[in-house]
Amino acid sequence: MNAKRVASWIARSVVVLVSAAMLAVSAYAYVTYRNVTTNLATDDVIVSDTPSSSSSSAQAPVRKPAQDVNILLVGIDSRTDNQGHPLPRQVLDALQAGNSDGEQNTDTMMVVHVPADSTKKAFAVSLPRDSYVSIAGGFGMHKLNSAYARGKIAAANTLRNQGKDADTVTRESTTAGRKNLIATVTALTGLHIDHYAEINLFGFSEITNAVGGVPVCLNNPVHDSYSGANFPAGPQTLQGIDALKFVRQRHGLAGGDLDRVRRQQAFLAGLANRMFSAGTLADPGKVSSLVDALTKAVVLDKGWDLLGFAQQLRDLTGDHIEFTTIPTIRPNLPTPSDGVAVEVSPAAVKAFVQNLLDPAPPTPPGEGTPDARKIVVQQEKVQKIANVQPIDAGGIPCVD
Amino acid sequence: MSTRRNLTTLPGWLAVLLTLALAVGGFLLGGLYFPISVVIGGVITALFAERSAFFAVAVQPPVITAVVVAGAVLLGRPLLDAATQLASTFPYLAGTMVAVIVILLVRVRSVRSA
Repeated sequence: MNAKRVASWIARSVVVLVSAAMLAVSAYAYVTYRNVTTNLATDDVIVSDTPSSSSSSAQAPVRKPAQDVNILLVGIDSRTDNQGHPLPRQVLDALQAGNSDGEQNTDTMMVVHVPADSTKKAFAVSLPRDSYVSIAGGFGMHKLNSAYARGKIAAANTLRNQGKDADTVTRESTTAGRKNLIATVTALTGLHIDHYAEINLFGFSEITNAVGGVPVCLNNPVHDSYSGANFPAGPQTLQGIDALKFVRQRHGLAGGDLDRVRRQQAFLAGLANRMFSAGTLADPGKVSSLVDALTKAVVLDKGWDLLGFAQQLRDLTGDHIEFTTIPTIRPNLPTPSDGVAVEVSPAAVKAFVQNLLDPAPPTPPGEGTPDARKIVVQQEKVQKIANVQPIDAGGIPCVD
Repeated sequence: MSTRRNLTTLPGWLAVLLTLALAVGGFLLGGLYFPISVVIGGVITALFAERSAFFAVAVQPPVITAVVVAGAVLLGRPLLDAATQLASTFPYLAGTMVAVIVILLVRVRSVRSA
């Protein structure tokens, strides 16, 4: 009788402990999610067709059916963190980044398309920073990486003339810069940008630390004094400052910035591979350090349902993500005021993006209707312009 | 008085089964249906369970939530999906626990005073 009572008492204690543990696990998950949504720096930069309830981010999200999502990823060479404080000297020295020249160039721009239908491919299209395009806001033809700074400086001047205080000027002009870049990219690619994610130099290195390094592979050893890149050939895992050097190196590469774009694509492919294949998202320790790094390093648009997006991402496997670059024409286009730029044809860019969204079905041989032939010819042209093999995140691609 | 006593005779095994069935149904419907089904299951069983089932009723909400989510993972639901479900359930789960314990305490006291 007594033994039975003890056994029952032990059983009950175990059940209570299990119950409490389950409650604790769900609390931990909830707090992690809350941290992401409340600590992330956000900016109201997306001009949406339908007003969304952006203030309800702290409540339990109600799932909306998944939709195709286009995200503009921006890497900015700002020497400040995302709260506007200057980076520590030692970090700048390690980056060989020099002093802030006050200008903010967006040196990496990528449009990432995540389809609602997980059987379709996701793609990331790089927009070379020196692409000579029409800048939104009536600034005329300039390099793409100046769209942000031009919009920001113009807005700052207007705000200052209105007598706004320095903080307001900085905040609102930054928003204007981001909006101007989004408008420019939309006009160039024909894609509506649903979400915006901006990351600075330092934050980028923090994220690579959080995931425990990113696997990359080089075709040849490199030694570049400008970026400090000094790597052997072959596969290697990079994190922190080294990861930054890898994606920033431009000198000593045959294609200059276009080769650097390939580096960035290969790096993101490695990162995606790491995130989706190596179980990073299932490791609570890594998730919380990743969340920590993200909240320090990234600026997102307001009202982005990250949980919903994470659920949409979960179905993606590495080989369903393809990295490409918009078609470019001459890499050494002389310009009146911006030095040498990269020539792009907006029509070719739009056709290229449309083809990514809706790949023309391969026509079976023998069915040579004139219409089908035209589509094939068009497709070949696009392929030729793109001329380099797209990178996908199924493996670790080797790059120059 | 006697009708009320007749209502509060839900045996423990039935209380657990009822909560589990509600939670599974809510999970299949998705979205907010899952946490709300956990709340309803917890409160209903707390109101109508018999005296000997109080312990089971008090500890079951987190365990059943976890069992449903874990079961979904075993049946092929991705882990991240399950984790987000669990995360969004927490405020409801905490509320359910408070409600269930308050209801049970009130019932214990009313039985004693009766």
